[in-house]
Amino acid sequence: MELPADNGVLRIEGDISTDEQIRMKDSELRARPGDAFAGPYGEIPKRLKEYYDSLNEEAIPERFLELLEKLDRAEQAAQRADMPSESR
Amino acid sequence: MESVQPAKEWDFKRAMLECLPGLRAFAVSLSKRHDRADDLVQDTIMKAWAKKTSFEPGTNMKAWLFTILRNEFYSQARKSGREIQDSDGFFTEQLSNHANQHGVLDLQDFKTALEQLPTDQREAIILVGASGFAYEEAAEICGCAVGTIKSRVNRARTRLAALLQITGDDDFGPDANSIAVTARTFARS
Repeated sequence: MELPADNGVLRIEGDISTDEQIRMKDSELRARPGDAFAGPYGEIPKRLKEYYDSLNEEAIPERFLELLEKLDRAEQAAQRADMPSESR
Repeated sequence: MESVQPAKEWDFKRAMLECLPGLRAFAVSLSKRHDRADDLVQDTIMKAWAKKTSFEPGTNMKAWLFTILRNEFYSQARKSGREIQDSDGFFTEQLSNHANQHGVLDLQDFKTALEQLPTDQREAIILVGASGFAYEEAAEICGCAVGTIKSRVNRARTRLAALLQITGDDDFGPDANSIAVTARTFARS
């Protein structure tokens, strides 16, 4: 078998890009199972996190908060109308 | 006394609020555009609210919301005929703006590279590498096998490394030309 079986990838018929795997250097395939970002890819998780954090830190648009409030109020109003004095 | 809110209702709204920044970040990553992402988040909020009785308290609300948003994204894309890139026949374009000569990647370079990934690979690497989901959770969100997620993450990082010209520990890493040539070769074959 030319491809190591312990590269953390389960073989799924038709999904693995073998072209790509063959092109990959052996050392790149020998990441520990479950460690998708070992070795030469060390830079990627850092950048990925930076990218994602920058999005995460953006302020949530006001309209989402308003929408949630509106949904909540509408539901409470509906509940009061449907069941005036029952708890359920 | 004003109506006493059942604790469950309050928790649901609050739990949703807490998930919004991450949900929105995922939406931007998927759709690549803030305006579309915000529409997606809005639709997701309404969908989630409408079916909140189907949410089991104590389970992972973030994963639940991500699943709804993802389904919404793909169903809107299908309806509008908008093309979703998947891995098949995907052509990797060269970055016009390479990782610069000093080997420093800035955020814009990374974003540009990320946006060139096929959608299935981009969402996989975002879910696992940034949103903090385990492979199993990401598989659940995407409705596919764990092995499929692992494979997509592997391919995503390989592609990103090529786009960003991150080379291995040895001196035989791919250079820009060979990457471009291989990409074209495989795109045509």
